[in-house]
This record gives sequence, structure tokens and C-alpha cells, in this order.
Amino acid sequence: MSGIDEPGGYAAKQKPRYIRWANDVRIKVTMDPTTPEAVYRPYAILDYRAGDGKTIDLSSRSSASFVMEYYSDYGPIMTRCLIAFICLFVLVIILWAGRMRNWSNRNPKDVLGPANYASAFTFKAAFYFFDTWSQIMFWLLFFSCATVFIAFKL
Amino acid sequence: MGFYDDEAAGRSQYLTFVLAKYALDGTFLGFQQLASQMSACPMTYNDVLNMQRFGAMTENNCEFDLFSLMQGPDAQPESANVLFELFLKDDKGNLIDVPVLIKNLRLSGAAEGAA
Repeated sequence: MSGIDEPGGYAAKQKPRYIRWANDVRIKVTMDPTTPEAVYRPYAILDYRAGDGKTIDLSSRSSASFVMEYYSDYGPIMTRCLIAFICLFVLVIILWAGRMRNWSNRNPKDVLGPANYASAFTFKAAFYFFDTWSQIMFWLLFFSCATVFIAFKL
Repeated sequence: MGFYDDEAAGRSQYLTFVLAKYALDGTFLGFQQLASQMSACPMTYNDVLNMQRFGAMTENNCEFDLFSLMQGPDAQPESANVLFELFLKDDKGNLIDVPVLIKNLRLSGAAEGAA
């Protein structure tokens, strides 16, 4: 946009005294999670810059950007994921405790010896915890990714 | 407002934005489908297609020559000194007006940001 502020300046094709340009143009489209294949009303965000014509010469340049953004509100899905995570974490602890109890029954302290038992117990505790964690949390990741994909990407 | 994937059922994987163009004196210059008119950066055909594709986030950055805006009307970029009104075309052909937020607009010394 060029600023010509003399009366009849545009008709006389005068050079502008100042200029103004859209430095950053951003159009945001937000998907509606309550209705399949629908979006909320998009909106545009503009950021303008202006310059005095006296300071503009052949080498004057400015950065500019044009962005089209598609945004999904993952809030409800993330809340469900958090609840599932907490429930599955409790399940992990229960399964881990059960596996450790079975391991302790199969490997009594008096058979392994007190010194070996402590290190073996620590190793198995860590191993079973991470093993149980990975096996259970894999399904959380799988189903949460599948839900987001089906709801927002298909 | 619904957007669908198959033309026969009114579905499309592309969003169609439409610009109403006005001259500085308010003369209506017609409607145009949004391509690169609002971008100071040059955009290729694929850039425009990607921008319209539903769900694909696109960003075009560049440095542009300010001196071109200082030229007379004949030498200025095509979209200089044209006022745009942006609409989204829905699956029934209705034009849905798109609100605009100007981040750094000041009105009578008020804080920045006004719609």
C-alpha cells in the first residue's frame, strides 16, 4: 500500500511519501473436533510494517512471510490420553510387582546368597519395570496415534 | 461448515478462499480465487496448490524489494493499492467472510491488536 497524501495524488500518479506493506500474513484454519470433516471459521492475522519514502532506496528490502496454518484442538484427546496413561501406569506397577514377586519366589535369597541377591534383584527390578512399561505403553502410543490419525488426518 | 472429500458428494480436499478486490476509492474490482495475491513472496503453482490443500501447513518466506512500492502505479506490483476482503467458499458455494486481526494496529493511541 503506498501512501500518497496530496489531493488528487493517485490520479496524478505521484510517488508515495510513505509505504506500508503486510510483513506477515497468517491464515489459521482450526478443525472442529465435534463435527466430522468440518472446520471452524478461519481467520487471518496480519502484521504490517511502514516506511518513510525518503529512507527507501534501491537496496531497501524487507522480509515477508505468508503462512497457511491448519490447527487441531487436541485438548479432549490429550485429556483422554492422560487418563489412560495414569490407568496404564497403575497397571504397569501392578504387573511389575507381580513379576518381581514371581521372580523372588523362583530365586530365594538363601539360594542366590545375600550379595548376589541384591544385585540380581536390582537388575531384574529395573529390567522388568522397563520391559512392562514398554509393552503396556506401546498400546497407548498405538491407539492415541491411531485416534489422532483417524479423527484429523483421514 | 462442512468440507468433504469427494466432488459428487460435495467433498473436496482443498479449501477455496475467495478475495473480493476493491480499488482505493472503493470501486469493486471483482472476485478472485486466492492464489498468491496476499503474499509479498512469489509463489509457484505447487505452492498455491499446497496452500489450499486441507491439513497441509505451508510457509513462504522471502525478502522483497521495497523500492518497487515507491514506483508509480504502472510499475508497482499488481496487488499494490488494492484492498482485499477474504472469504472462504463452502461446499454449497456460500462465501463465508474471514475475520482479520491486525496485530499492530493502533487506534487513537490504544494498545496494539484490533480486529
